[in-house]
Amino acid sequence: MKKFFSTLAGRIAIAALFLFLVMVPLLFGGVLYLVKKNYESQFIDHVRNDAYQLASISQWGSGFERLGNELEEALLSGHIAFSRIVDSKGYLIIAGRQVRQAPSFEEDFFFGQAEDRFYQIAVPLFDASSERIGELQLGYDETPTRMQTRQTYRSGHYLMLGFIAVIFFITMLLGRQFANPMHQLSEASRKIAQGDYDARLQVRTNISEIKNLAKSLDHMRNELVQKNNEMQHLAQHDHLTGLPNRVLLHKRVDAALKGARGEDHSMAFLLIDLDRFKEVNDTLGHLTGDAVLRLAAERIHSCVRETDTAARLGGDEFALLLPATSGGSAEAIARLVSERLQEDFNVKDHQFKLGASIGIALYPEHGDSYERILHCADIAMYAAKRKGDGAVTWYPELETMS
Amino acid sequence: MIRRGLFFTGLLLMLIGMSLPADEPHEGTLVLVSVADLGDGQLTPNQLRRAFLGIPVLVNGENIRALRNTSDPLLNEIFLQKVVYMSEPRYKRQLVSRTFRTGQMHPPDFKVQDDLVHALKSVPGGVSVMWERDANKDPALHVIQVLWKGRPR
Repeated sequence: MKKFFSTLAGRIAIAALFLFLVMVPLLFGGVLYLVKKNYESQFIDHVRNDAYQLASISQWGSGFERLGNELEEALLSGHIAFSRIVDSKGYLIIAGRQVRQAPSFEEDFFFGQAEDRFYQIAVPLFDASSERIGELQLGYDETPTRMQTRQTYRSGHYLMLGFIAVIFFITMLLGRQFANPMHQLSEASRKIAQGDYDARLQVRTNISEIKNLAKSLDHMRNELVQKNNEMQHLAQHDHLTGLPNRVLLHKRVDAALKGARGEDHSMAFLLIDLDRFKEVNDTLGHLTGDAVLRLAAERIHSCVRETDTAARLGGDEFALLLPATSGGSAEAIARLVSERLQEDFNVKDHQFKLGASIGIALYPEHGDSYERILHCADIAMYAAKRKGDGAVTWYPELETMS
Repeated sequence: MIRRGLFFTGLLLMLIGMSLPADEPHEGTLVLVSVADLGDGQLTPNQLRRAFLGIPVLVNGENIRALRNTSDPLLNEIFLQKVVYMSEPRYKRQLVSRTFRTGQMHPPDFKVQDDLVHALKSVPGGVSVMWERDANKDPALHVIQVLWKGRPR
C-alpha cells in the first residue's frame, strides 16, 4: 500500500481524492442546502396561502359555520394538524385537531422556528363589511417536509460517495495509463545503463509526451550501440592496418583453443616478422614505413581463409591464427605468405624488397595456452630470423622431431 | 505569567458569557406607515396585499404606492406572512411576473431603513411597513394601522 502511494498513479489518485473530498462536499452541500431551502419555501408558501384562503371564507357572510365546515374537511385531509377560531375578544369558538395534543399557540415566521414540529400561523377574520370578527389559528405539520429534506440529504450523500468512488476509480485507471509506460521507460533505461543495448525500446501508450520520450530514449540507445561498436573496434583493432590487435588475437586464440579441444582438432599459430623493415623506416621515413606495413598487412590477409585471423602485434610483427589446420597446411600457408612478402614493394616511387621470418607453433604439440603457443612461435620465428632470407621455421622441438 | 493569567481569565469569562442564554426578544409591533395623510381609513387586508403586489389601490382619493422594507429579516418574514401571505421566492416571482405582464414597476425594495424613510417622504402616496419604535422616531411618518403585535419566538 505504501509502495502504491509513492507511485505516480498513487499520487494522482491521492491528489484527485483530496481535491474531490474538498470540492464535492462543498458542491453537494451547496446544492442540498438550496434544495432544503426550496422545500421549506414551498411549505411556507403553501401554509400562508392556504391560511389566507381559509380565512377569506369568513367574508362570505355565513359567519363561522362555513369556515368551521371547511376546517373540518381540511383536518380530515390531514394537511392541517390543528385549528382554532377565536372571536375578537379572544374567546375560543371552534377547535379541531388531528394530533393527540395541540400545543399552545405561538405564531411562527420561519420553518422549524420552534422545536414543536408545527408551523403555527394566525390570520385575522373579517366579515362581509370588512369588520374584524376574530382570528383563525392554524397548525401545519412540518414533518413531511422534514422527511422529504432528510431523504434528499440521504440520497445526496449516497450520490456524493458514489461520485467520489467513481472519480477515484477513473483517476486510478488514468494514473496507471500514465504510470505503466513510465515504468517501461524506466526499465528500458536501467537495461541500457547495464549495457543491454540490443532490446529495442517499445512503449505502448497513446500519450504523445511519453511517446516522444520513448523515441528519444531509443535514439539514444541507437547512438550508444553505434559508439560502443566503434569503441570496441578501436580497442581490438590496429589503427594503422585495420587488422585485429593483440587483445583480439588473444581472445580468438582462446576461443580457437577451446574449439580445438572440444572437437579434437589441431591449430596453427604463425608469428611473422618483416625483414629489413627497420632500414626502410629509417631511410625512407615513418610515413613510408606505415605504407609498407599496410601493404604487408594486405598481402598477409590475402593469404588466409575467412575463418583465419591475421593480426598485427606491433612494430613489424604480425601473427596468423589458423584454426583446424594441420602442420602441413600451416607450413604451406607460411610459405605462401613468405613468397607474397618477398614480392617487390612499390611505395611512393620507391621500389624495394623485403622478406619475412616466420615461426610456426602448433596445438596441441607445442602448447595448450595462448601464452605457451605465442612463446613457442616466438622462439621459432627467432630461429627463422637467424636463418635469414624468408625462412619458415617450426618450433625447434618439432623441427628436431621432424 | 500575569499576562497569561489575564488572558485565560478573559477567555473563561468570554466562554461563560457565550454560554449564557441570549436576551429574550422584545415585544414588537409592525405598523403600516406613510407620510401622506390617508384620513382615518384603514386598508383592508385585500387592499394591502394588492398594493404590495404592485396593483394600483386608491384610498381616500390617494393612489397608494407600496415600498418594501427588507432592512430586517424578521420584519420581512412577518410582512410576507401578514400582508402578502406568500413565501419570499413566490412573492418575488409574482412581482416579476406582473412586471412582465403589465410593464408596470413593482414596489421598490429598500435594504437600508434611512433610504426607505427618505423615499417615503419623496414618493406621493408611499406606504411601507416598519417597527413601530422606528416609525415613532420620525415625526413626519404617520402610523396608518397596526399589522402585527407580539413577541417573536
